[in-house]
Amino acid sequence: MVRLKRKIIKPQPIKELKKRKFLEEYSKESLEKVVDIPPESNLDKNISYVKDVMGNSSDLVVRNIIIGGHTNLKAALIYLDGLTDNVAIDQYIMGALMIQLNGKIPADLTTKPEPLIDWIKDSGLIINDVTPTESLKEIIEAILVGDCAILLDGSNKALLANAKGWEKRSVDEPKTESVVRGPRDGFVETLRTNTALIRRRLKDPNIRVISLKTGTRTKTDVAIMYIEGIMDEKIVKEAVRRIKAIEIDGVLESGYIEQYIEDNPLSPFPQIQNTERPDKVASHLLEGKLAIIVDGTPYVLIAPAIFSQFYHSPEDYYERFLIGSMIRVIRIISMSFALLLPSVYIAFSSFHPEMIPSKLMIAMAAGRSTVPFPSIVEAFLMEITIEILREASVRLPGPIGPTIGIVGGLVVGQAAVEAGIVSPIMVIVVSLTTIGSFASPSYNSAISLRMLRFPIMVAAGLFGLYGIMLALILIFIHLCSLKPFGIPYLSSITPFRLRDMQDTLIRLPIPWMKKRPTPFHTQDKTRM
Amino acid sequence: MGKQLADKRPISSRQAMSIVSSTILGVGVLTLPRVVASEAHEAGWIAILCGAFATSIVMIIVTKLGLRFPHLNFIETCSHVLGRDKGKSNKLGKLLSYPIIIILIAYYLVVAASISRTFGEVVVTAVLKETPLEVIIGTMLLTSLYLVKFDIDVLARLNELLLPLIVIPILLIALLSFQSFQLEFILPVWPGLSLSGFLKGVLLTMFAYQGYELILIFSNRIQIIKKSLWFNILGIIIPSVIYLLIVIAGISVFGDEELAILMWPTLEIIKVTEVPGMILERLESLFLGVWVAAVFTTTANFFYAITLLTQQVFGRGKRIWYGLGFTPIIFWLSLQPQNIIALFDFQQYIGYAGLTLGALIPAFLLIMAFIRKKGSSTGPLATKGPSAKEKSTAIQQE
Repeated sequence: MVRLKRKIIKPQPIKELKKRKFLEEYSKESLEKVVDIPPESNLDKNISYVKDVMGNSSDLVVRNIIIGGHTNLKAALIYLDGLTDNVAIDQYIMGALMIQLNGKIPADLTTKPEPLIDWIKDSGLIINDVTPTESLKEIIEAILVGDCAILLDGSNKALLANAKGWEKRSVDEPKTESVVRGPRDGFVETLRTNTALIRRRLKDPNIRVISLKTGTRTKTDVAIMYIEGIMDEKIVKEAVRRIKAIEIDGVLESGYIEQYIEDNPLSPFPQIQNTERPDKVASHLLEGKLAIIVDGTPYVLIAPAIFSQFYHSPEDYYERFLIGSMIRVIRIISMSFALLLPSVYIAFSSFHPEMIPSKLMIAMAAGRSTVPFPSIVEAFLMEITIEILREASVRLPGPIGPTIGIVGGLVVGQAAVEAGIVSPIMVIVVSLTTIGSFASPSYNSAISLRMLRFPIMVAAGLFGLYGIMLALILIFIHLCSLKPFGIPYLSSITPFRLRDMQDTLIRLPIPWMKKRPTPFHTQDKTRM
Repeated sequence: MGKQLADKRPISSRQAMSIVSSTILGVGVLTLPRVVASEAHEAGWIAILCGAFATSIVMIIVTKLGLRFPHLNFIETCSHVLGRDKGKSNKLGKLLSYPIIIILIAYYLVVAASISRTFGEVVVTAVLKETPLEVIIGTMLLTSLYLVKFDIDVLARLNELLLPLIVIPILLIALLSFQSFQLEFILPVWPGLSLSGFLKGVLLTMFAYQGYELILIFSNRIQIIKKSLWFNILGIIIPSVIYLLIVIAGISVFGDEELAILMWPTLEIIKVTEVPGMILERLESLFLGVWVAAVFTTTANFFYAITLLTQQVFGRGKRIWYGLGFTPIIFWLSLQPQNIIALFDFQQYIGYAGLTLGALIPAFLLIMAFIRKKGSSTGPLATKGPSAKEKSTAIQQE
């Protein structure tokens, strides 16, 4: 019996797990070995090999050419149609190799393909980035990212010419983070454009870009950007380690990376910020944070993020300090509305009616007299309805989105009140809650607040204000326990530092903020 | 060495101050005006000041003891002071320190139970009239249990975060209630009062300052700076200011005779307070709602100290398991008093026990350490040479 128990409780023996892991790694290695053979000097063999690996895909283009009119110099260009710039291939690769080299190849090289290919690299191709390679694996990888491979008959060396060019969106105004005042350019889906947008703002030679690849199949390019001399190097190392540890086949958006490298993925609060705005990234780099740019998405990650930066907007700094501070305070109030208003309504109307001024109480009671449900049911009904509306209006095609908003918000709300399903006050509460949650400048923190509102509503329905406070304390404990990249999530509120309050609840005039925020352990502590 | 010391110490001195303040501020404020008025009458506010002074003296002893053994936790301090020197097997010291630890744990358990019971009573009588008492106590303990799960820096940060939420509302209420201030109620300053009666009043106010002694348990995790002692004493000053204002408000609004017969005098003060603008008609529900935070920090800090001590005694295990084990014990203890009168009597005994334990144990240990010449008598910062100042700054930065 005891033995049986032990067998059930005992986890799989470590030896077996190790063996399995070894086997997996071994098979992976052997798979790579198959690909990783040097190109042979026979051109046809190489071409057929590449075709084999790529499974004769229809977008794989193999173009056989003859270099410089010498019939013995057979070559082939291999690239993927659509990932390459046709003009570059036509004019600067094929044009150069076939026409411009006519009669210019040194006579002694025409019979020696090996030195010839180096000569072509140095003086033949009019392409900015050409790398020689001796591995078929590298050739295939290069073709997959949009390079053009040039293979020469008789040589086991090949050239990889950068001819990348694909359809891309132009730099556009960010859709999710619009501001009244501030730059209008936003990130796009191309990694290089994004790094350039940041570089355009920070002409600092100390900017460092670390390039990584994640995703065994998508091989997504990831770049970590930070300013050396400001950034705490420990955090950079940790970020690189975490990104390298990601084991997944596909990284399609920066959200994948975010969820892998977050300290507490189960928390409702985001510990890494995402943004579409290059100016925001630049300002965070200056504060000693790092940016993680992922190819294929306009959302750049900023890590480590602390709670206060989720209600900060770049606009706070562009407007004058009184306006910026007031906007920030209003934002905090509206976010607390989004979190607490429905639950306070429930608590007041069902547990503490004595707190409401008597005249208002009479009006509320009159409004509620036809409502058949207790206030918590009423609140849940309306809140869920409004969440459905919100989600639906995101999915709706552009022109009818606002219409549905009006129909949903006004018509349904009005009709619900007239039908006596909800009270008019409830409609006010729900609309304030929803509007309040959209005042938050970052979408993901607004979502987390909107989500947490439901458990608080349940607590309020059970225990009134006592319940709300207990729920809040639980949230506070959780917030205090979060430490993204070792930095307390509520930094500058707790652990309290008076100097960091310059840019937490309000914002002091910019000339007064001479120091960088302390929580990020910046190497260079002063701004000016 | 300074760097190492700082690395392991997650609690800043400001957080230590918050821990002291928010542990002291709890259910005491709900009954304090009655207790003071019944013993010290119009001179109640003087009693509060004397109580704060006496508590500060004990605080100095507690802090000095902590600074004398900056690297040892409480159990190690006990066994080191009572037993043989370090390096040799110290069975004697351990054996001698176990009774102290067990008495402390038992006392903390009773305190945590009585606090949650008192708050449960006031919530059930004033706000949630149909909710069973057990539910209030249970939810409070479970919320504390969630905190026990985390490391000590989370406790420190939570106390720092909640302290303004506790202090600002009660200060506002105390100030607002001065609307119905009547000067004749607080005069004469010194009524015909026997000294022994007044001293009893002081003693009773000192009960309301209980909780400061927890800093002893956490002391080896607190960053040491030159002003450590001042921060700890500031932690006593904050609640004493609140107590002072609320007692003056109570006496000036009701007079000491009437105040002495009110069951929950602070709630009565809040009831007569009017909010400017009439946004809210009555405030006591809101106050009790906010005061959940104050009571929570007291209960949870005691709970945390209990689990931390047991963990140190056994030297292994996760705190959450000890916490799970202690939750039903505290729950059961909290339901022992038959009614609220029995609870108040019970609290008196706890108060006496708290004064004895909170003051005598550290004083005894400090004297023993002094006699047996253990620990650094000058404190960790007053080391020789010019490096002392550098060290203190190094410690101050994390």
